[in-house]
Amino acid sequence: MSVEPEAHVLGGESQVAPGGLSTGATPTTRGERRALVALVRRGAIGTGGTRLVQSAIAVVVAFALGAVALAANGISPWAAYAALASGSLGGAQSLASTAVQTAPLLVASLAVGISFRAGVFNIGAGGQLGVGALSAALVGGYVHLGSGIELVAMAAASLLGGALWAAVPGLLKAYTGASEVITTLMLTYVAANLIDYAVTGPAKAPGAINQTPQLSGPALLPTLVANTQLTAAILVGLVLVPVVWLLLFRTTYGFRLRMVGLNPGAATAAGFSVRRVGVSVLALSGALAGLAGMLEVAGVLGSVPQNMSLQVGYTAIVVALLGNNAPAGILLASAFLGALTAGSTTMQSAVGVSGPFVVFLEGIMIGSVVGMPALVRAWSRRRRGAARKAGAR
Amino acid sequence: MRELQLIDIDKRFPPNVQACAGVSLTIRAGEVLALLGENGAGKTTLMRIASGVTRPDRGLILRDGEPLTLGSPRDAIGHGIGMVHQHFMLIPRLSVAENVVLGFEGEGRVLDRVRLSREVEHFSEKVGLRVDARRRVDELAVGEQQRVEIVRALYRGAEVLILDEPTAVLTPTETDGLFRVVREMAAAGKAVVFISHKLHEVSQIADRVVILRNGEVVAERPPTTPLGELAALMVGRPVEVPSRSEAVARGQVALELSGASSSGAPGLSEVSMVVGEGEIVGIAGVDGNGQVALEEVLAGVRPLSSGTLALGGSRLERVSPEAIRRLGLVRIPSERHRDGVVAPASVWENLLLFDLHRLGFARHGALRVRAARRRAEQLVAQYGIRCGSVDQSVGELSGGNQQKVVIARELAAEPSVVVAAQPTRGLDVGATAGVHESLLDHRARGGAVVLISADLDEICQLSDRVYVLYEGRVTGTAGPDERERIGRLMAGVAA
Ligand SMILES: Nc1ncnc2c1ncn2[C@@H]1O[C@H](COP(=O)(O)OP(=O)(O)OP(=O)(O)O)[C@@H](O)[C@H]1O
Ligand SMILES: [Mg+2]
Repeated sequence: MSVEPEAHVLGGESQVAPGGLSTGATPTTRGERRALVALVRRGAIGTGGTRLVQSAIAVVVAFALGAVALAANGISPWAAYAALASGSLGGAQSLASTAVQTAPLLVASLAVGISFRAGVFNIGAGGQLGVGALSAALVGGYVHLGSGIELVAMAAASLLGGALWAAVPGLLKAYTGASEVITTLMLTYVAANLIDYAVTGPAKAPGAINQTPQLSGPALLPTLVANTQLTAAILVGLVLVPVVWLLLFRTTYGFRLRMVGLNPGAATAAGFSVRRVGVSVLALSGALAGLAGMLEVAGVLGSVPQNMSLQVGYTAIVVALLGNNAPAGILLASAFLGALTAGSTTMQSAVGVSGPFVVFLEGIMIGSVVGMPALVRAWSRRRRGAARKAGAR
Repeated sequence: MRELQLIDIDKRFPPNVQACAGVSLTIRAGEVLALLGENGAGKTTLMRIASGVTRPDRGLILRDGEPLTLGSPRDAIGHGIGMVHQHFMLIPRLSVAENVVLGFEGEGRVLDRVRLSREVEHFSEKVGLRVDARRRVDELAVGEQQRVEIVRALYRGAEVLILDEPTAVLTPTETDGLFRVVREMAAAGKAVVFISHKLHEVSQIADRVVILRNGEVVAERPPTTPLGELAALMVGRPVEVPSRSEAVARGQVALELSGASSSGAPGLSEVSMVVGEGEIVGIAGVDGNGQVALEEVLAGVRPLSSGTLALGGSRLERVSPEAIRRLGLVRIPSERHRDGVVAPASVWENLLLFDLHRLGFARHGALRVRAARRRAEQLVAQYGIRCGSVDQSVGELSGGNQQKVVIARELAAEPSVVVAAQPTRGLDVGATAGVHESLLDHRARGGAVVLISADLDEICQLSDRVYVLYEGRVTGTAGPDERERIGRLMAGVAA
């Protein structure tokens, strides 16, 4: 579709809705909102095919720039990427560790993707994940039920914990107009402090280490492949992919959610309550993010440690964008980023690349996914310009 | 420049919409060329090609015999071709003045906002289309946005100016102002392309009329051609203008507003009106006199600050869009893009938007997609909506077809009261006749219609009774034949 570029900046569509969104927020948060809306809409529109190509190009661009950065630091990009590949794909162990990394990321990304679809920007999935993990660890550590039931109770606790944690920004937004972009993010810091408080105080396991009681037996997810960390967590993620798809595209709730996300004005006129959808979608998103936390605790960590990493919550934003907020896309993208994370340790030890390098790659990917449409346009215009000059001669 | 030629232009939108099929057209300096055609005939697409927004699949664009390659709107402006778009392309967050000069600020200077605003305001007064240069575009009503679009195109200066339905949202006075500018431009040796569905405007301003149908040029006529003939050429068959039959016996009171006041610019103040079953009540008035407030109050999206609203004889305690819909009132909103359609969503999803539950497309929370698509296909056929398939996104449809989607959805809900706000804005003659017929049908079945329209012809043609809104008040009532009186009331003159 060829549209005047200015129009794209805002709507990602040829028709910029006259009047725009009236969110009633202050101009600054409204501006910030618009930018985010544009960013996410750009992900939400466009056919699956072109989006796949765009995401693929973004990945290639990230690797290419990464190679330049590596070479500039005197590290052979070839060796580094080979180590990355072997650490994530070379052999059963590596594949297993890719799957281990993928599981919580997949679930957290589905959580983020759902909220983006509704035009709600839950960027605090990390906090909800942390609260979910803590809830699950407390149930698993202090309430002993039979095998099977134990895990169900832990999952329920994590869903509930995450949902409540995310409902707070939802209600704040609905009743005070506070931007969820700020509040979800802030609550991530609160969650981190809450965890530290819990593991150093009331929920500290006996012993020297600051952590919740070590989970055992029935509170741990069953291992799928012996001698690996691969647990049933990945199965949970895989089951959720079609479930979320059905929710979005085959239920009336999903329909309302998507319509509100695409045009709050028309949805309001249709009698859908944007407020209600906003609160419920945040709670739902938070619940899923909380579940991701449970998968991490019961699948990999075995307890909630002090300074638990909540990075997955941010990586999930990258995944949702790369995956076009579509469950299948999110599955692909989370497997890919899971592989990157899994391979990065090998890369680190093989060629001495520092850990944050992968985060650097992720950053470039976001940049290229978001900037891609503009880049493509600029490029094709230049090509046309060149053709014209050639023709004039 | 002497002429701009479009030769053998083809444009196809995947999968199967042939928007332009071998169109050739010459635009001559010093003339006003009117382009007519049904909704979806390809007028906008053709002109977007001429202005560098869209690239043709095939064909040539010649300026005085020299081929042009238009890679972008900027290229086109460089060659003196400017376009006022049907769907606005303004940046909502910027001020009017910034929108007008965007990209033309001059080199290496810091924007002097005060001077800029003054300059833009001065310019807009000169061309007779008043705009408030300091306001942000997202605070403006559609009519004002349209004026900004036109001022922007004129400000940039063009040898060839393309106006795509510029008058759809202008008041008669503003239209006159625009026509004066258009005539001056033609007299100065510039070329103007004018697209409109209002045939009397076309015969008033054009030097030559070209008619498109299904992406092809089907005829060229002088502006003196009888309007009926032009309409028939567009549609491909004679168009019958539906007329109001004898008054149906007025039934119970369907809707009643008493002493209603609301916020808005202007809001309603102390508006009382009664609409009975089996009648069409017209709300006449110059745009911007409280029509939007009235529309939104009736639809339940704008709260009343005082007064009451009653539907079907019972007063509403809690007014909400859901409650009002459930009581059988539907709205055809005037701001289609904001309130009417979800542009990125598909045709079938848009047709489903409101009545998810009532129509039985929800079963234990599950969406019955297959049934919903089947019903959408029926509605598409019944209302003659032109689209590739029901999976196409509504944003890709022509303006008129987007409106048909809204109308089909609302009328299919089998409402008791229809609030139709500017329902035929941007619709072609055939489609307009279709909408009018639907509204008259609704009336004949004993339904009530509130017709809010800035088009006095439409009001007089359809209404049983007319209320006139002026600055948020009802200044009088009139019969549909009392045109003069309505006109005076609209101008705020006591009649
Ligand atoms: N970007 C697009 N993608 C797909 N189809 C499109 C696109 N733009 C236009 N079309 C289709 O091309 C056809 C011609 O559309 P166009 O907008 O040119 O009609 P129009 O004559 O201007 O109609 P209207 O009077 O309603 O404005 C329509 O069937 C429309 O659905
Ligand atoms: Mg058009």
